[in-house]
Amino acid sequence: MIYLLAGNPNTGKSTFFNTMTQSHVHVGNYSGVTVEKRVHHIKYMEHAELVDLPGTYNVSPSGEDEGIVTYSLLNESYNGIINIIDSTHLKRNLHLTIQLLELGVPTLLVLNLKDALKNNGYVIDTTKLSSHLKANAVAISARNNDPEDQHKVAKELQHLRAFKAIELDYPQAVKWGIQRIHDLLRYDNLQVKKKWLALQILEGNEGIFQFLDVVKEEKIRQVVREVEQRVLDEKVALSLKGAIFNTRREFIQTVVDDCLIQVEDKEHSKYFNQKVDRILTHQAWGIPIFFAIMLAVYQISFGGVLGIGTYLSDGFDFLWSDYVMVYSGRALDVIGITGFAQGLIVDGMLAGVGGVLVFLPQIVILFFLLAVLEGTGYMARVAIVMDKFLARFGFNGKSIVPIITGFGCTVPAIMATRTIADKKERILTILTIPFVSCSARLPIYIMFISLFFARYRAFVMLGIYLIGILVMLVSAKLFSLSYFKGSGSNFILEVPPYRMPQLRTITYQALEKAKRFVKKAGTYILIGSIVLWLLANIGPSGIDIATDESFLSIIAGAIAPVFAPLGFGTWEATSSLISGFLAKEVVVSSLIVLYGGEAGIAAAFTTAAALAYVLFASLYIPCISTVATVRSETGSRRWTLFSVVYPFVVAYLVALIFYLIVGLVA
Amino acid sequence: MTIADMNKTDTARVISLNGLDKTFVERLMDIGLYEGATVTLLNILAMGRLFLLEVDDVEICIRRDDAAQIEVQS
Repeated sequence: MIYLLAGNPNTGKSTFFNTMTQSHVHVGNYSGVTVEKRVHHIKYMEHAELVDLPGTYNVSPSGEDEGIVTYSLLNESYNGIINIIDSTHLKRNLHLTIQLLELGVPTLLVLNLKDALKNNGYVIDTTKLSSHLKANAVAISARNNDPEDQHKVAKELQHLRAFKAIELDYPQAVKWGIQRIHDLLRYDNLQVKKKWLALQILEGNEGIFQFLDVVKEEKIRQVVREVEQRVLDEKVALSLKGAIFNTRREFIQTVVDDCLIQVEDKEHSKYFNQKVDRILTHQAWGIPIFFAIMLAVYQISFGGVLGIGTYLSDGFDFLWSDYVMVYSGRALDVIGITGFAQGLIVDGMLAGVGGVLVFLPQIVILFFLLAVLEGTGYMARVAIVMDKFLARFGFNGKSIVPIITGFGCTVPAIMATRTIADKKERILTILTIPFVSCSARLPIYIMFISLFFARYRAFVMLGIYLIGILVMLVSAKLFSLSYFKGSGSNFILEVPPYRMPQLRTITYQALEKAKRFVKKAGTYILIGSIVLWLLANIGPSGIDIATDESFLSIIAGAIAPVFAPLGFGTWEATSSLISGFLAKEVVVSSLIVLYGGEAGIAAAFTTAAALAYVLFASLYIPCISTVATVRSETGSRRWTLFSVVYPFVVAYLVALIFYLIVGLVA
Repeated sequence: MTIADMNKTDTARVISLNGLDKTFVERLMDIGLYEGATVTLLNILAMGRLFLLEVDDVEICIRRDDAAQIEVQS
């Protein structure tokens, strides 16, 4: 048995999917698109699988993931649909529900966020809802991960059967159109009801045409035009889509009036929101408050004073280098693994992976705090406060959350752009976010500043961050004036009520990010460290040789002249940048290994070259995980290539300018 | 009258969104703001730049320029 999971965005769909299923069956892609398709086993059911569809307001969505829901309904084989509904936004959620129920496929309505609805003072009469919509309904709270809820869902699924498809009383013109298109499709062999297809086509679902006979397409489009004209002539609505939407809305209104029951009067929460909003989104104080909060977040994660993250990271570093690496070395001695092989394990693998894992505590704490801010509903207020500033550069108000996340790690930052509905603004944000200095670049700055700019420590550090932000803003402005013309013009922001964030959910989110980070350390960085160490220790003349005779020095030496105008055209500096592509943290560990310690580095760079190197390392090609994320999130090879080439050019120019300026001054 | 002319805590019925572009209207529709919908102006934020509205059970924020394109009737 296979079930499709459909629902609006932000309904707790992923939480439901994760708690309702156990082992995964497979993760693949939908044909032709890069959107990940997740299929998992359903708990408490034999041979039952759940397919996670992208969150959408309509079967034919206007934003991202276009066509996947339509594609799945038409082509996947499935036994039923689970429609997850946010009970606290019942009216809006039911628009999708109706479109699904019009299919006439066995459908289970899962009314999520039962607890939140109750806190608002309401309950839903599921029996009445079932009889209105002709589908079974069950109310749960997915984030409690309650086995009883899950048993209820599984039990309902076992008894799921098809009711007659729901039929709404659409305006005469629409009914006429449905009949005409239905007649045109009479002899087509399709797995879904033709009346449903007809209605979807009238609504503007372009995705359906690719599954139809091309000859009919023109005839059908002619019908759509005629219906559209009738809707306007008869003054039914402002558009055909609007006419269909209005019929549904009226139907939903009667359903909700009948099923949503107020049990307690709790209206005051809205006034609380307004009071707090007046302070947090205040024209004058809003931005300072935001910066103060962010400063606190960074201080706790990365700071020296109050910095829980820093203490934990230092502790980890101590354990790793003084115990794990030392004792591993001794253990290997005992079992007879010495020399080249021991070097590979201890200096290659352990040093490389440890050098990155050191940042784990800081990153987990940063993500935890950001999740708290997100969970309280504060981030939506930040979007309000920053809207004016960001719109000037072609960003969306919602870009602020990804940008802030970008100071931690670029990968989740790029994934966080999913909330931006406008595709142009989303890609613009994705392409410019890598210029924001992620925490992985921090070790590079710290090392170079302590070696070359110790006297202007804070000034240089702030400067590097500001240059990154400036490059991001200028790039965004350039993009919005050229290819992304018109971006930054639309703004619709859903403003959630202030909420006490749930510790469970936040911990879960932070741990998910941590898992991803550890996975990165265990894969890319592990492999990268091994390859780098091997390349640095193997050469044409054999193994276990001096590094300047290694393959690495030959390869990097060939590229190094490119960087000569920037003052660091050595093979060591170059190969560190190359390995930095695996993860930015690796730049530091490579420099240390190749120059034989910090003293070697201090001797190899002039001050101007050091500044150029830091700036170049800060801005050049994003790490491989970022590039892979850009690929999967934009779904475009062109933009992925652009995200590699553009930063390289920008980094080169910025580094060159600063090298020349500092050279002149000095 | 448009949403931009409403006073705080006013409730009105949307009658037309003619001045807005098609994709923007579709996104408003996703949220439930369409002709016939009832909107309440909850708050005006950022020195009159942003309008916080309640439509059905959703709270959204739009800019003044867009709000001025949405005709309403109280």
